[in-house]
Amino acid sequence: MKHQVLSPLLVRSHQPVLVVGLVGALLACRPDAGLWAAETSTLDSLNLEAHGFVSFGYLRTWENNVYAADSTDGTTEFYEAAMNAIARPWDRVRLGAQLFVRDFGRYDNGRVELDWAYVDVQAHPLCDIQVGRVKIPLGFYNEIQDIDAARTEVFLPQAVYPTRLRELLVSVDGGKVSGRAELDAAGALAYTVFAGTKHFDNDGAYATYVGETARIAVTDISVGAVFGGMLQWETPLPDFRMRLTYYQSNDIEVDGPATAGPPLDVHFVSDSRSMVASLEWEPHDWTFALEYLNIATEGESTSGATVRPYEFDYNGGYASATWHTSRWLELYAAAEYRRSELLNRPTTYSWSWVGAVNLMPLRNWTLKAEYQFQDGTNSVLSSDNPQGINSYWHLFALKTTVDF
Amino acid sequence: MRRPLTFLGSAAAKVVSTTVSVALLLLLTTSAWAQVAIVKAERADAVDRDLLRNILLGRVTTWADGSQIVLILSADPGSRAAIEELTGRDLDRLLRGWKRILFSGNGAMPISTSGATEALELVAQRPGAIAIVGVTPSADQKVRVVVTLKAAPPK
Repeated sequence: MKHQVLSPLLVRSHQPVLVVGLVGALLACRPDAGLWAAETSTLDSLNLEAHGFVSFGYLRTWENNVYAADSTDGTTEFYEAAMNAIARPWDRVRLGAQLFVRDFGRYDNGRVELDWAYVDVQAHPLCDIQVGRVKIPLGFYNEIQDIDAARTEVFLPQAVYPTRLRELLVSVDGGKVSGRAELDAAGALAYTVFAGTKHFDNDGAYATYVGETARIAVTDISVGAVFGGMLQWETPLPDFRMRLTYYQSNDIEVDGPATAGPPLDVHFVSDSRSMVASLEWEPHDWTFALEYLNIATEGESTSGATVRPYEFDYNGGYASATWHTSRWLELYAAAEYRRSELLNRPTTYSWSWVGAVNLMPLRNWTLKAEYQFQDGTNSVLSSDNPQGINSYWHLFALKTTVDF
Repeated sequence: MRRPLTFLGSAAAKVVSTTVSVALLLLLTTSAWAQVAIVKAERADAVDRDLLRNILLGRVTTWADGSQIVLILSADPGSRAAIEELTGRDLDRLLRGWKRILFSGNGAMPISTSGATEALELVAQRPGAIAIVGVTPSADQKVRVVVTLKAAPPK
């Protein structure tokens, strides 16, 4: 077993304490746990394993700055790493925790976070219970947003998986129940339901992005309740599956002073609902995916004595094809569409054309390049582009990942 | 402690490992190069090719009684060939799928063994384990063949 130490990162957050506590609890809760000396059999019976990955990348845009105020000059502020430990101390029980760190242009900046930490009890094929900080399904790939080694492209389709909203959508502090039922000739049905809440850091990517779009300096951001579910049909056609996902977050509250206009305190409160419809087909060396996301957010904003309704609608989707040409080479192409409306008035739209190549010299090492041609301004912020925004722009990214 | 499947290794190590595995297989088995799926002898679960495929792809992770399936991937050539035939994917692509499961907190990686002999031992010891190996185990093994994917060629 290989172990990796992230000690320079650990000192920057209290969250690793949770991981240490989890590992300690693992050892303590074993009836036969004893001193470390001469207790290798105890470790054996925990079936403990550790894995991790580290990615480094380069990102450059042309015509508009995106994700960073100087992305047109190119940036290497584009890395992520994770380290996890998983134990299977009993037949039906699995415990695990993962730390995650990333720097993505202006977002997150090396902030260490507890990505997930759970106790999983497999009661029945129809009832797998996971409690803790758990990743949630939203579309096919929300749970693997951070796992560069498991996909061909550098960026998941931003039309459905906007990386600046990762913190809101990727996990929940609560629990989920999953199951799968075989339907014989009709294929199989799988489901997940989840519920809980979320904690946000004021310097996290989500708070930063909300502050940029709402033009406030966020001093407090929270969400009351998060819940939703996923239903997947694995059809009789081999490797063809369909999925519907629903995600609701209630009482999203954001506070802070305005950064533009009169110096007033601003308070946002809203509820947001997301739905994703997904299709995936993997015939032999190919993977085809088609996904559509709708987000509807309603609430109100209070600025000084003025209260205004807030209504935001978003529709986005993509079609992609991945060719697994050989053990060491994959090719990817996609078309994406995004459209936003504020108070029923169209604000921005985008068409994106994406191509990527993934080289895998070793099983645990990937080298990727991606090019995006963008027609539209959906993910472009005026605060990054004081000189004005161009409707046509380009993005190029390189990334390499090693995992173990 | 058994080594979880990792992605580090050298070509030389693989060559040595494969050579040793093949030698052991020839010594310890009654019919080399048959491709079979094995479970612990006491397990009563029925396993067919579809279930085996779903287990390999990480879609099915529990036995019918809800207990955990522990997938063991043997490095012997017969096992690799069987995996490719069943899933339509080579081992590397299959493992990329497992990385999705692992790093999203939805499971643990399969356990790797250097060859069929170690896989047979592990299945005999570990409740809930299933392995695909390129040999047919001898009759006194504490394991049971649940699927024969490709019979050994006639002598």
